Amino acid sequence: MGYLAKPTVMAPAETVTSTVTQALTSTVTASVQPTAVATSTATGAAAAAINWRQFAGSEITVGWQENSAADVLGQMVGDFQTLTGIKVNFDAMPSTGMRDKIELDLSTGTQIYDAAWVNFPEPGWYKNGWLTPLSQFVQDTSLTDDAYFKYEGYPKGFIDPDTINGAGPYAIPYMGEVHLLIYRKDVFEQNNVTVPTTVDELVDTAAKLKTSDMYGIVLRGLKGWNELEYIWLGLLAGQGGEILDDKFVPQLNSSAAINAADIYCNKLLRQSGPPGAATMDHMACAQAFAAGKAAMFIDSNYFPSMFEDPSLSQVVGKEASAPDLPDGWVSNMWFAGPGIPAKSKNPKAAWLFIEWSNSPDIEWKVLQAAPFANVARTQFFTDPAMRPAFQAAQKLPDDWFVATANVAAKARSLAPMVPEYTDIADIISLALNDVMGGKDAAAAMGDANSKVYDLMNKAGYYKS
Amino acid sequence: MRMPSISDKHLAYILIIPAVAFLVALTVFPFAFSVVVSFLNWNIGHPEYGIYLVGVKNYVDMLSDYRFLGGLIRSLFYTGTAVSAEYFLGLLFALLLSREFRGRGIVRALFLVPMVGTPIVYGLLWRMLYNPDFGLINYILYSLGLLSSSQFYSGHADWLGNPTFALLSIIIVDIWQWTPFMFLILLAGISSIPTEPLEAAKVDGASAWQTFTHITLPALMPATVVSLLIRTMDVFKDFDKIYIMTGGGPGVASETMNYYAYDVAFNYMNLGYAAAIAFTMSVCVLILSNVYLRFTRMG
Amino acid sequence: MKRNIENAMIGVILAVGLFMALFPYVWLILTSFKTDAESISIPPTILAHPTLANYEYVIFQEGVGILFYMKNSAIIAAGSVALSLLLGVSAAYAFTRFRFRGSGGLAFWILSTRMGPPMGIIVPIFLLWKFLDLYDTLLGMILVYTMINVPFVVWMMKGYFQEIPKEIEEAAMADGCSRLMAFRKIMLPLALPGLVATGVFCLLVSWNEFFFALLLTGTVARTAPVAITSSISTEIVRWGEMCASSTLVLIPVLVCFAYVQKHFVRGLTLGAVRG
Repeated sequence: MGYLAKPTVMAPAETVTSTVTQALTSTVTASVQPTAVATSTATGAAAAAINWRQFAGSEITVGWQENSAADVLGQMVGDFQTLTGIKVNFDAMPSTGMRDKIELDLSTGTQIYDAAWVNFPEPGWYKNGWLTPLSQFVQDTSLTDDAYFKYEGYPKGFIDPDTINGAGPYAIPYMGEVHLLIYRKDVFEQNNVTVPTTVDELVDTAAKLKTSDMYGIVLRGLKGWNELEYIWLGLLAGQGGEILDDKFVPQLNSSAAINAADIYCNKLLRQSGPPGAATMDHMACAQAFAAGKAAMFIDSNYFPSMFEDPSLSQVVGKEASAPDLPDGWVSNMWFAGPGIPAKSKNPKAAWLFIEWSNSPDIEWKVLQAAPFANVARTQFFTDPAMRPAFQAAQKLPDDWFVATANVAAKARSLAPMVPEYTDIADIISLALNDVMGGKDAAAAMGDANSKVYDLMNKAGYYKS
Repeated sequence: MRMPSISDKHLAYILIIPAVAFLVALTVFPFAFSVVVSFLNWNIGHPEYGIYLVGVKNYVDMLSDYRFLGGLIRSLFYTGTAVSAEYFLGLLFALLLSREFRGRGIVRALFLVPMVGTPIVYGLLWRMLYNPDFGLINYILYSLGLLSSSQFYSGHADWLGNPTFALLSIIIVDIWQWTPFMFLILLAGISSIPTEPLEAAKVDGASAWQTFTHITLPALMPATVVSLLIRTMDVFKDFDKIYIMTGGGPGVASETMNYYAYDVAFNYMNLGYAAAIAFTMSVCVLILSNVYLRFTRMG
Repeated sequence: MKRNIENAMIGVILAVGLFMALFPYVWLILTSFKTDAESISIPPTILAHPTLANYEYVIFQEGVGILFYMKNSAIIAAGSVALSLLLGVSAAYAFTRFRFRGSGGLAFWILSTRMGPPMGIIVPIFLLWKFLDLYDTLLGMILVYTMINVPFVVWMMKGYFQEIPKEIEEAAMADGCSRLMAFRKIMLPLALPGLVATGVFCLLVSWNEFFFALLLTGTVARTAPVAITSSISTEIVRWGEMCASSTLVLIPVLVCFAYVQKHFVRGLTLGAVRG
């Protein structure tokens, strides 16, 4: 799902729609000091000022998300075992069904995983106490050497929202992303069109570029909190709307919400998008763009690296990222990384693994072998020693770095941090799918609003 | 003279007990658990609600749940269409291939090929084939003139993305995959028919149709019943293809009762409700199979 | 003349049927040799730039490689088919040849265990398996698939055994055969086509099942179908890779099938010369 776009500065001010303030490391260094990364794993990690072998002899099971980076990390696990004497059962699980598996383990308390991949957000998991807050490990100097681990290398925007009731974070980001407006610069040139800077311009541009063999724009339409709703929230927030106010009362029948539904479903998708939009998930949209069938795409900043890969895309060299999202559209953000289940029998040993796998040292090695653009650490972009290699490996054009920097400075997590967020997302998605199918936006959103209200009421949020 | 040995009754028990004991050991707990849970309010995602007995509330809720009712109708439609089509096609090909001809063995073997693959793979493969942009099916339809040029190049002909066609598209995959199964069972049944009645009929001057309806079809009854039963039970529970092809969408257009149960159990984490749906499904199948069995006076 | 037209029509129907049955497979195999870019090209091409990169990746580079998971699937399939046939055929024979009180009900109960959707029982089975230390073990998966297959075997073989007249067996036993001999020499050969069909179906269930395998296995016992889905990363479906791993996973079953076909045909011819 995501790719990360971690550019230079994350101003501490922006984050947080969540009502929680985090109590973690308060110093966020705006620029990361360029660190010479050790070239050999053994010296790099061994040089850290902690006792790696304090849990020698124990055994942990790590559940990770399968992808090419995980394959590389899996091959390096032997180094960790030599370093610490901890036996690691590294399970890289296919993403289809990975979450079901982990959730089954967490909810039934079967203690299968000591470290498990967490896709933000999981407010339900946090609220139910299924994951251990990690701040205790980060701050424990007998376990963590920050000079090695560089916790401040993560943008606050990825750490702050990952808390609930003040405790957190529940996962250390490994991958993360924000949203960019990606477009076909060749098509724009041919049609004498400039990059839209407002949502109205976006609608017009999409309509103008729609032809019989090209969609003006593709956007996620598949129902779900991590598909349609994930992108639509950006438009909702940009139009000044929100899902729940601070008393948890839904605001879906506000004019901002109805407007956002109308723009997304009618003005963009029905008018200029693919007809089957309601079943298109991020993959389907990306593949349409990569096959040359779409002029614009608002989605994760991971995708440009895919679009520049000749083995995957037919639009190499033809895509570009707009310097910023149009006015009226804000970027949502997402990250994922390992967390530690509360019932784990070896939480500290698991923490050592996370400290190792998420350290700049090991992450950089993995990146070199299996480049991926959605890495969560800022420094890989800002460090002058690392950026050229990064850029060359991803074949990312300069406009990507500019775009990600701009967008990430304002990106925040827009999902309501309540355990019911998936139910809410389903209600909203189904309503939006209805609008895509022709239902009146005001009616659909009004309907959704009452359903969400009932849901929150039944969940007990309105008892004063 | 039959050699004296263990009495028939004892032998019967000895032969059956291992199977029964095995099934009892492994299935009693899960089934009992599931049934009991269906009478509880148990939302594993909200432990703070508590776990407590609610009697038939889950079942009552189901009846006013539009997604459940829709799922039920879609399940019945899916099952009815798929199983009938598979039966008729399977019977057709079994009859055609029961006569001798050169190369029959190879043709028979090739017919069985769709049955062997993984449903998950088929879901992905057919997703690739149905893709409105680069999928082969639309290209073939376009080449045959069944799709206009604008329809093809615009990517409008989206089978899986169209609420009307999504479920049908999945049904087609099921028919493609499982007709060979029916074919196999019915062919085995046909080849077990003793030759005398068939030859006698020929001698008596019966037409092919008469032979078919009076000899072949009745003799195929047991095979028919078993194959219909098994397929009905399996199609009703079909999951993998829907999971990987449409996720129940667009909206809920391809969401069967079983998929809804999955969604309730794993996304809403409402185990009590999911168990109620699962139990209702089992009852549906029970009723259907009873109908089959009564119909043929077997069992 | 009429016979020729009839034959031609039949030939056409068969040809169409064959084409429908096989073209998706052909497409699958072709795509496994394509680059990811070619696999999504419009209009679709047959095979412009064949490459072995996909196979190389799934065998050597992706984690432990698909062959390990195929080995797991093979062991699990062999175990569950053997066990299911053993338990199921015995029970089917008893139901067919012996009348005893409650046999109808018992047979129906056995069938009913297959009626429930996996959703209802997956969580309790998961908990039970964890409790019995069967989680992520080959034996655990063998037992699950046997549980799914035994009812099927019982009912299928019941149907086939019922078609064989009792008299043949009784005649043999009157001539001095023990029941076991009669079974081996008479029932089994006559029911062979059915037995083969049933066994094949059990094999397919064990080889291809996805959902239970997904939730009940970890790194040790993971099966091939679950491994194939790793080509669907969250970013993109690598169609070429997926087709490569799928093709590899198909090969053993197709080979098995080809081998079984010979016996299948033999069984059918034996049936024809009977009587």
